[in-house]
Amino acid sequence: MTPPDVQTLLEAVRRRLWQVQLLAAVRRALWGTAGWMLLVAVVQLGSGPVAVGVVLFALAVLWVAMVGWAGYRRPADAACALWVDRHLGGASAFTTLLELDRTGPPRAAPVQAVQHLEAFASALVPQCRSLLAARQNPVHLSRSFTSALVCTGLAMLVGQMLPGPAAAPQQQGRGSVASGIVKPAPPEADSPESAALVNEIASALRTSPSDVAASPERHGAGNAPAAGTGQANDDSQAAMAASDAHAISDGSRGPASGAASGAAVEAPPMAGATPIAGSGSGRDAGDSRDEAAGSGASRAVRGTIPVQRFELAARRSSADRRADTGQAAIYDEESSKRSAVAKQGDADPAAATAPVAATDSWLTSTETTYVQAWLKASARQR
Amino acid sequence: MNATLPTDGVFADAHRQIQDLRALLDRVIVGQSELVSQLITAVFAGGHVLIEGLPGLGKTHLAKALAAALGLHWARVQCTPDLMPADVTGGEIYVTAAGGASTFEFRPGPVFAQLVLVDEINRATPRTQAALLEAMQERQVTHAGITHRLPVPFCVLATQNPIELEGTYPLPEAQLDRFMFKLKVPFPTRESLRGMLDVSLDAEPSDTLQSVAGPADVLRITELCRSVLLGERCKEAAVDLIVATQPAVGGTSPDARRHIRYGASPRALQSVVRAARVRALMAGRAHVDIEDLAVVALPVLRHRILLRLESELDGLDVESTLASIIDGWRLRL
Repeated sequence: MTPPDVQTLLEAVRRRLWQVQLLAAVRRALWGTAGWMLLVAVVQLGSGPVAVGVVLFALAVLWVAMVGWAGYRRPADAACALWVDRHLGGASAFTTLLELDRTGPPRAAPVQAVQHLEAFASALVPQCRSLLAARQNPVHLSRSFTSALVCTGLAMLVGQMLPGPAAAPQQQGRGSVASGIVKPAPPEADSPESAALVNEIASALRTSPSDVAASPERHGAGNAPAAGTGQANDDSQAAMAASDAHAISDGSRGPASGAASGAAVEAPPMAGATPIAGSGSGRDAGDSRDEAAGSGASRAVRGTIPVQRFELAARRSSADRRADTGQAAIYDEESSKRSAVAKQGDADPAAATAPVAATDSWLTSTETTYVQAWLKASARQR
Repeated sequence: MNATLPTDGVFADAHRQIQDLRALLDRVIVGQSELVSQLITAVFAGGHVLIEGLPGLGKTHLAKALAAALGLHWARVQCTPDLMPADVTGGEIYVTAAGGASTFEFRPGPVFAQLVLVDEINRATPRTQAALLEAMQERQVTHAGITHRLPVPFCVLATQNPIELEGTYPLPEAQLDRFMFKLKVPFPTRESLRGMLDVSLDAEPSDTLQSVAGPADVLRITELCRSVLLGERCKEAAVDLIVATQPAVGGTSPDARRHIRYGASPRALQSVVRAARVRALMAGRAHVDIEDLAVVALPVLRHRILLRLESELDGLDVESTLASIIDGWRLRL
């Protein structure tokens, strides 16, 4: 029933509506792209670099969804007729005509009215076509396109400004690509240096008091590294661990005193320093109430600390550690880790201090057995 | 757009006739083109018209010209407080025949004319008004148990004066609802006043007016208007328009909720659609457009809406409220 020229007009309008629909979808996709890239830039600033694949995948999904949906929604005849009536001066002729075409004319409608309507609609077609051709496309893409460009550039700029991840973190970051964010690798939990320190501490703890007794020349000699005895450092460390409860004067740590004590001379108690009576309590010297009550009493300096600090300083100053300056952050974390381990190692010997620390009171065999068992248990625990 | 209209068929003929009628009345009634169009719409839609305007604006002249142009028999009733119903509808009189036999014979009143001009209807008593309005609605008069059909076409043009309301009997809402249109006669423009001097200074042009149609043409066009197509979209729009004036129905406009006490009736909906059909025919179409509904909305609805007292005290009138409602309705379409 619908005249052919009316159908042609409706097809032209359908193409125009479809085009406008697609352009609107592209505009929405461009705005979505801009928003997504802005989000990516913010995430990069806050959490680190975002994987390019994830960004591109999200953009592809966005565009396919927008444009695909717009292309899928084909404007119906009724929508086209309504658009002609509203925007091209159709005066409701096309909607009424399509309605009659779809449902059939009402019973009361005479043939003349339908014929007049068809003639009226056909007569309107040229005018509607000219209006359609003169009608400007209402969809503008310039602002959305510019916004998408700017936001994409911003995201790329932020991505380039971020520091490049180290090799190890990159390797570890491959596993977290799926999450979209490459997290920096955590500092190594067990570096060789830390392991060496732990071993040293453990070996020091494992040193029995009999060893200390076997080398009485080390006892009281302090922890002077320049001790002229020519013994290995391990021995001195073991001795220091065993004599942790000894009151050590500041002067005993000096190289001169170390040199002087190289002949296994007991260091005389310094003025103000209370000689520690071996109480067997395992506490640090000076912790007892009696000792604290003494004039000038102070907590004994633990013998292991100077050695460890010395060794740490020596290791830090090694050339291989200073070579990679780009790992400053990791370096600090490692050093802090080592210091934590050192502190732990520092505390452990204190806790593992043998109950006998007095220079003139040695452990009995029972006490020695007890201490050895305790040391083994603590080493196993560690 | 007129150049593209179809020129064949009964609708085209009716359109031409209406155009001729409009042109003729526009020559006689200077400067009241829209009023003439609305009056023609009401006549072909089979409705009655309440015309409100100041004295001297040409209301009687308009009625006479319309009757003359359509070839209708017209009558005039000047309403006063002592006007009786029988003065309008007619009554029985005692008649003595030539042979001496005498009988009561019904003498029709002015309401039996095809076009009745009821001047200052609000000056008649409610009883007379009721008799007249019953005749308008039923298109018949019952007297002494005998029903007398009114002629067709039948159209009442009632006028009322917006001033000098003392001693008047305002029409009740139920009776106002029987008028399809309420038209307001605007004051003519300066050019129109200048044109009146050339047309009607020394003569009454309606007295010498040649009719362009007859009662049969009026009936034919009226019947043709009923076959004008009304699409679903226009039906929905008409219903939306009526609903928009209801203060207590969902889908109404904020203005209606705020200012309107009583909205338009279902009879108003029928009047809107019937009048829109005539407007479509006047535009050369065999189908109704939304624009036709919008054009007739105000004259159809303005006497069917009652404002809240608070809104009236705030200085609002029905015209502005309805205009706001109609604007909102058109935006929603």
